Amino acid sequence: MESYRFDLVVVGAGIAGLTAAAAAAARGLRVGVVNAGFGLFVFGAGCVESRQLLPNEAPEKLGEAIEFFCDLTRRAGCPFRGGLDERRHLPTIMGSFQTIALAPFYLWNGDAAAQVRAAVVGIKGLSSFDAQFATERLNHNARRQDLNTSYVAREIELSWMPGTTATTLQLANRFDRDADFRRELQQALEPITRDTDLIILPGMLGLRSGLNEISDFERALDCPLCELPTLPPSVPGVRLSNAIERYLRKSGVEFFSGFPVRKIDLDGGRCQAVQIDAPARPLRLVGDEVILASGQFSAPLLGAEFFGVDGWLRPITRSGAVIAENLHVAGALLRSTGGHGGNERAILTGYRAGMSVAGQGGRHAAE
Amino acid sequence: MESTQVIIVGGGATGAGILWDLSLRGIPAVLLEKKDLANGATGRCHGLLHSGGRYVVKDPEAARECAVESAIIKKIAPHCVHDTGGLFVRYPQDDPTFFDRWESACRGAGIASEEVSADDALGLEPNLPKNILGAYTCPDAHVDVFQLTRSNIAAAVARGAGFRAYCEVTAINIEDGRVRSVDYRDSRTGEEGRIACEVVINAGGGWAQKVAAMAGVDVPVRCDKGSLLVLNHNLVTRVVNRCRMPGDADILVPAGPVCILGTSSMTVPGPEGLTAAAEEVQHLLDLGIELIPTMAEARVLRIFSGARPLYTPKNAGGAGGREISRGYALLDHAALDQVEGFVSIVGGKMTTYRLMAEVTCDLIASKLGVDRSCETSEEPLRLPVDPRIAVKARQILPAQAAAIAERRLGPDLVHIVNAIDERPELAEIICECEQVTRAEVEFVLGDQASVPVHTISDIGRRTRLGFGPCQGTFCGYKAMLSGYRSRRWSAAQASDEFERFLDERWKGQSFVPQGKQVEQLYLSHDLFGVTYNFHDRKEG
Amino acid sequence: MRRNDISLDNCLKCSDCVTVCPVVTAHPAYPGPKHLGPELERLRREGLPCDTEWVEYCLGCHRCDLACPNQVDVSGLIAAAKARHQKPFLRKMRDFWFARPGLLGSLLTIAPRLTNLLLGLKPVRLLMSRFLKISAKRRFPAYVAPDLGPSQAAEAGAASVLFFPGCAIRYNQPDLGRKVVQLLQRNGVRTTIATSGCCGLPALANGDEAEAKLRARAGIESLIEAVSSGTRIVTACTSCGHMLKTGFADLLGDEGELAEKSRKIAESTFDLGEFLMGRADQGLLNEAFQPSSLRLAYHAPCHQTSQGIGRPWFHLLRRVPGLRIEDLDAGCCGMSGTFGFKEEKYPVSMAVGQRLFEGIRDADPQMVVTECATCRMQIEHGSRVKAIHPAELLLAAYSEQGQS
Ligand SMILES: Cc1cc2nc3c(=O)[nH]c(=O)nc-3n(C[C@H](O)[C@H](O)[C@H](O)COP(=O)(O)OP(=O)(O)OC[C@H]3O[C@@H](n4cnc5c(N)ncnc54)[C@H](O)[C@@H]3O)c2cc1C
Ligand SMILES: Cc1cc2nc3c(=O)[nH]c(=O)nc-3n(C[C@H](O)[C@H](O)[C@H](O)COP(=O)(O)OP(=O)(O)OC[C@H]3O[C@@H](n4cnc5c(N)ncnc54)[C@H](O)[C@@H]3O)c2cc1C
Repeated sequence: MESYRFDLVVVGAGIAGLTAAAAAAARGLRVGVVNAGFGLFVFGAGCVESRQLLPNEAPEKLGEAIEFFCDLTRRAGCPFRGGLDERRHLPTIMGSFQTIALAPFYLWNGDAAAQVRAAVVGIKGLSSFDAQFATERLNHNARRQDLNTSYVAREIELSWMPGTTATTLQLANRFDRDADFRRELQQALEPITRDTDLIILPGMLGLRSGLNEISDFERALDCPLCELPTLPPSVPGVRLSNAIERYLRKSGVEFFSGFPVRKIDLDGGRCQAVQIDAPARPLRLVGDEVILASGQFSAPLLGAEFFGVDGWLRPITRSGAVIAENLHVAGALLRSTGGHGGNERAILTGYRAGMSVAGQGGRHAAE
Repeated sequence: MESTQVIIVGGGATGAGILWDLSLRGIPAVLLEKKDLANGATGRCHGLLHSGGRYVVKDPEAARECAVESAIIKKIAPHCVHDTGGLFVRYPQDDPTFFDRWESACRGAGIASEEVSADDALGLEPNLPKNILGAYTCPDAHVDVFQLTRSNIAAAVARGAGFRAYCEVTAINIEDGRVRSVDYRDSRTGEEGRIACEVVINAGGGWAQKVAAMAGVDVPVRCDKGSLLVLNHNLVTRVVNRCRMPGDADILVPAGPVCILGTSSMTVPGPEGLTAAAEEVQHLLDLGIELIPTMAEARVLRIFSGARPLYTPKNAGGAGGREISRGYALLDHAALDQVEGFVSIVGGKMTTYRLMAEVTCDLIASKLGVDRSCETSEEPLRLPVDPRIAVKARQILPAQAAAIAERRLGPDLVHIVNAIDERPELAEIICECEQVTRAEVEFVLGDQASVPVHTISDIGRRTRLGFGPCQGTFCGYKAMLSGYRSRRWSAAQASDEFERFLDERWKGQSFVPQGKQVEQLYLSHDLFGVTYNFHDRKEG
Repeated sequence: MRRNDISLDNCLKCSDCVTVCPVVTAHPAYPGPKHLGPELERLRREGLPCDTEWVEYCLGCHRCDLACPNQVDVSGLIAAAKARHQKPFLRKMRDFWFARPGLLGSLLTIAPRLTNLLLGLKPVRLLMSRFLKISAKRRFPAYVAPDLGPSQAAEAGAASVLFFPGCAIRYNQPDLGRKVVQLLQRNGVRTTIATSGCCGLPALANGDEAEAKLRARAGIESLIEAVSSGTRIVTACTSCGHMLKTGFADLLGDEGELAEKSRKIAESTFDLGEFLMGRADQGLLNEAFQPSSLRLAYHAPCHQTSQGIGRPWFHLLRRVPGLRIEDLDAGCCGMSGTFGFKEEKYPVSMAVGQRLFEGIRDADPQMVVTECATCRMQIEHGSRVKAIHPAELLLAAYSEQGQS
């Protein structure tokens, strides 16, 4: 059984795991991240709804955590906009509005309360999206919710199509690879910009793009843009995950992607290693500290003893005994259900866990 | 006032079979169904086309009926039948004396069966437990109950019969001891109406008692609930029965891409609002794992319950569910209760629906003085597919999608092929799990479909859309858009339909206690409830 | 039980696998791993006709498997479908040979110079393109008379390993094989050279399951003795390593004793980099590297990533003082062994590689480092930058001190 050694091993590459890894790496720790695929935030592009957190979740740290997260996404080339006190009503493919405090920049323009004329643009042959449908529902719901934006539906045709129908993923791949395609898309959208203040597109502006590419595109179009996350695979979310992971790799974080952790070795009140279910034999990652941010279905990793966490996010038993002093828990794993406020909690707890092990404002500092 | 000669209450297999039989005899009839076709026990059964093996020891008469009827169904409706064959497997934990009784009873009832060694049985079905003692073959098969019901109705409608879904019979009007008309209410719009008729046939399955009460007569029907587990893929390729006295969870039926394990048995007050308790599910699963050990790892997609309508006349006593005969009863209320023109057909099995329709229609024909005998045992339910169209379908669709569409649509395949010819984008597969094209969804939503649909769940009952692992999460949205794009629904209606559909699909999954389907359900809740802020999960 | 017997049930249809599939990015009509894997398998088990030529386009890169949050054996299901796929005659002929690099290598190295001369001739390449559907745009690697040097006698107290060279090293780059032996020697490890033939992965990739099983059986036969006495197997080709670690057990998982032996072999197989990192962990790595001013770019082959061992070579090379190395992190190169040679697949192969070629252009390294022989071919073909196995570099880093 071979092993790698790190200052910190993070299990999970969802919002919580990535934030934790970034926080620790920013403070000079050597970090390894294990994951078994994307985090769940790819479905909703990581939008943060600001909800009431429970008092024991240290909501007073939320501002700091969000600030860190915004900084992280900015460095990663996919900056978030908004803030904890902001509320925007962002449109969805169901023609409803999601009330959002922070979102990636490519979603943020879509605020329905801004009194604008917005064009919802469909693409001929694009499956799983219908601009006309979305528009009708958006207008209906905007009226109902006293929001001032009015929506019109537009359809464009693109000469490049993979077949008689296309998915947003296929278009996004094209957007990444092909400057001609981007130009054609821009030309097709230009006439629409004349009588609207905002273009709403199904999420398709690339999986590897970021602020530079999308802003370039927006500038060339000379009209603000916003994307709608579509049915999975949802391009805006995958883009965000790609960007953060790419940035962290460049910052020296080592990723072990694709293999689940089957077991964490607990011994003598410490987490000795995490065992990755790699082919042939488990790979052991040894970390001075370990953060478990492996999502809502991974509680079995902590065993039947796991009851909750202490003030430092360390897992404790029902009687309050710390299960392992160098182990921390973050994200949806803290609660068995995801749902509302999931990303907010993931950012906060990921940040707190990362800071805690980095010894700043955390356990080490206090000790 | 609208009028017809015969009104049938209930669009299960029985009612549909009666509609078809009457139309062949030239008797005008309208079938009224309070929801969609196969809303009752028909749509909630295994879909096992019984060879008779299951009943052969306990009730040889019923077994013989099944043997004859299943052979007829295979002949007249091959497109609905997946002739998988079946095995009666001898498990070491079961009573060995039963095996011999079973074998000789089969000979007596004319059920073709051969003994196979344990090794050969394992060769046929590798997922059987290694310790089995052997098995017998039998001509069990799977029948797609939705297709069967739909085909009966479609064939009848083509001959001029009427079918109305979402049309609940609310009163049976009797004057001078004679049925004169029925009142109905459209359960979607609330609209009410009346149809004059000479005869009313009560084919209300578990609701038969309620329906009969509208005519002022009592038809004692006991509802015996059975729950079924739908597993994601074919763990077996033939029907696997446990060779023992019928009991819980001893049948596994490969039903299209899924397989269905069942069932439990318990008396319930009525056919509505059935749920499966966690213990019941666990009980079924435990027994299922005895049947097929890999089931321990397999994925349960959903759990549903149906109520067997069991006819319990006074003298049947208080015996438990499985003790009451699975036979049917034809009740002529003219003779029994002095209500002329009212007939009930209750009990029985899906497998014997045609026979039940035959005896019912014989009675009706004699009442109406129509001298035409039953033709349903000979007349195919559907015309064959034009081979040129089938070839064309294979050119424009992937192999599996073409095969599925051909089997499901028969001669209607031509509409799909033409639609895709005209608008190639309709070839898009919108339900990936079950490979349903947008063309087919728009076809069943359109006017050309002989059995109209009203909801997204109805589309599912025609096409299997939403029946796969995603349980409608992704395809439901696309089906909604299809309904909108084909102008069948306004945006608001489409959105409402989708909301109802999600609810119904979520409910079926909510009984699944653990495993991947729980994660799938969370995904669906969070996607629509949170990201699209559309349809929040109803807690509790 | 084979993993893929039940893993199709894990699919939540989330499509994460589709977003990472290199063929989906490059070839928009490709239906993608979710459809070709779990989706079709479910229908195939119903008995529906599900054969499609698209299964031939799967690169076997395993990125779908890694992306799947629910451990569906996506590529395994596609490989099974590939094995059932019926292909046209000419391609069947071609793939017969592509599935057997061992046989091909032993024939072509009888008279290597003649082989290389012929394979280099334009008319020959045009004929091969026409009749064997092998792209004329590709050049075959040079064939070299196999000479891996002698095995080293075991020495009391010294660690020893069994080196599994694989076909590319045996028939095309035996010098690399000799360097591997030297590198191990510099680290105090004695090397025996395995007599095994092809690992069988090319057969699997070409849909020839029967041949793959034959190779797996032969492989087990030739390796099991050493493994049973505790010797570790070392591979320097990531595809061989991947096959030894997963392929034998997947193919023979149902066959009692063989299954057990495959597991033993898998447990004892180490990528050379992984092996050396293990030595480093124990403080046994010879770190007497001379400073270097090389500027390198590292490409992780898919079959390296799929072994779940991190990036050992990247970290080993970073231990060489002064050496600068950047991970290109640009996905699959598109070559996938014999895939890129196939006439009808050449354009897809090159389109997949586009991201990597661009990455190399941006990084502008002196050389690209990668463990896989066919990745190196593709990189040199697509970017005109020299590509080299990391073992050569690491060995060279000792060289200032002279050979021992
Ligand atoms: C469809 C959908 C939409 C949502 N929309 C919103 C929204 O709009 N707003 C909002 O606030 N919240 C939303 N949520 C909830 C929110 O996404 C989650 O609560 C939050 O992202 C959880 O983040 P996490 O990092 O804790 O866990 P996850 O995102 O679940 O990440 C878990 C990580 O751990 C890895 N992992 C799991 N098990 C193992 C293992 N054994 N070994 C190794 N790695 C493992 C996974 O591969 C993954 O990388 C949504 C959820 C879903 C499913
Ligand atoms: C769990 C289970 C498993 C079974 N498995 C099998 C099997 O494998 N093989 C087999 O052969 N049999 C099986 N059976 C038995 C079989 O399902 C039934 O015997 C058969 O389907 C009954 O059909 P039906 O048409 O008589 O009744 P139903 O299918 O119940 O039809 C009655 C219909 O009447 C409608 N209705 C009721 N009231 C009104 C009204 N007022 N106005 C209009 N419409 C009304 C209902 O909506 C319903 O659609 C099973 C039963 C159960 C419960």
